[in-house]
Amino acid sequence: MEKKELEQGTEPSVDDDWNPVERVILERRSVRYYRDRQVPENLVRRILEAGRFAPSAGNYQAWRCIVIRDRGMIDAMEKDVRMMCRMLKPVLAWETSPLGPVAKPVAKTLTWLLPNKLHHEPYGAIPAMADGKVGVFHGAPTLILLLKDKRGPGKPEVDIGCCGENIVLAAHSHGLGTCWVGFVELLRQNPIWKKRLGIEYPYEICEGIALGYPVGKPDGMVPREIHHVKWFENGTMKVLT
Amino acid sequence: MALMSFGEKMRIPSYDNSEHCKMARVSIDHEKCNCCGLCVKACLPSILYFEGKGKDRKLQVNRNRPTGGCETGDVNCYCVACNDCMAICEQGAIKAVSSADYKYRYKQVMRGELAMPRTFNS
Repeated sequence: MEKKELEQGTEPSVDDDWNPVERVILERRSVRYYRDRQVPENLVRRILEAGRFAPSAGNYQAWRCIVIRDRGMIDAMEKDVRMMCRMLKPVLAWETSPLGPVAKPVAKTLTWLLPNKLHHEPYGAIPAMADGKVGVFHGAPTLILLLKDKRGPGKPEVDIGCCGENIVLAAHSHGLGTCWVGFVELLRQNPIWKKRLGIEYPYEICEGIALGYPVGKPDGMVPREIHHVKWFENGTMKVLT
Repeated sequence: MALMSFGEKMRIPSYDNSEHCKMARVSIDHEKCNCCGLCVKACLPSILYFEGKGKDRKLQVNRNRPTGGCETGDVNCYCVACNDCMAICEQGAIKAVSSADYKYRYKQVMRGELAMPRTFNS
């Protein structure tokens, strides 16, 4: 059974129908295992330049980047993210919570109030990070923090997503590996890190991107879920799959 | 018909109840696997691990929830079907074969099966 499943569609598409841009987009995978080799400074600056030219609402460019290339500082951040996870774990992991039978309704109420922050993916990752089972920055030699200008027009998080995607795709085109690390937002209100990184109003931590040379060859096309598309044309509607 | 009922929207699935969580499934071809360990490093939820030593070393999937609760039996708990393991594996020995789904608030709607990138040229 398993073997048969493996034979179906395991081979990435080898035809040359993809143009170079599509290839970069489709073959980019998140990297969670980096070499120690530091990324040259000019290369980091070059990929940040790709981020600078991302589209944004009203061309307001509601982003700002902080680049961290000190191993000690990245490790200290990782330690503090884990510390925050340890503080959240007793509330979320109701199976093992010291709060006993109260934990489950509390956790469910919190999930009800915060459907995105406590979606089951971060929900499961927080206790695992607290126990050190899941990596945070994955040993990346360079960390790019994306800050949000809180006064940005419309939806500044979307603009930061555009900026960051430009950065990760440009990085991938240079053979670098990247991984979005949203959990840095656990340090958003942390006064120690705000001071150490010099983050003041109107900026706040929004996203993190781990950057470095990957171990192995993590790139390649993989299967993903098909999302149904509603298509209106000539007065009719169809759902494309 | 609505994609989700009011009751579904309001109810949070219980993660220690395997009826509420249909997890993604990883398929490992142990004959092709050479135990290089790259997939273990690439795995997003870190659910892959090696069991045994020497010749008996075998890639396994952790079936426990990361929160320490239920064991989900037949399914590979907490796989998110990102397929980073498949991309990094040089032997073509590992692949996520189905994606995850939860009941109630987090049920998947308007989605299909896993598929490779398509060109629509023909």
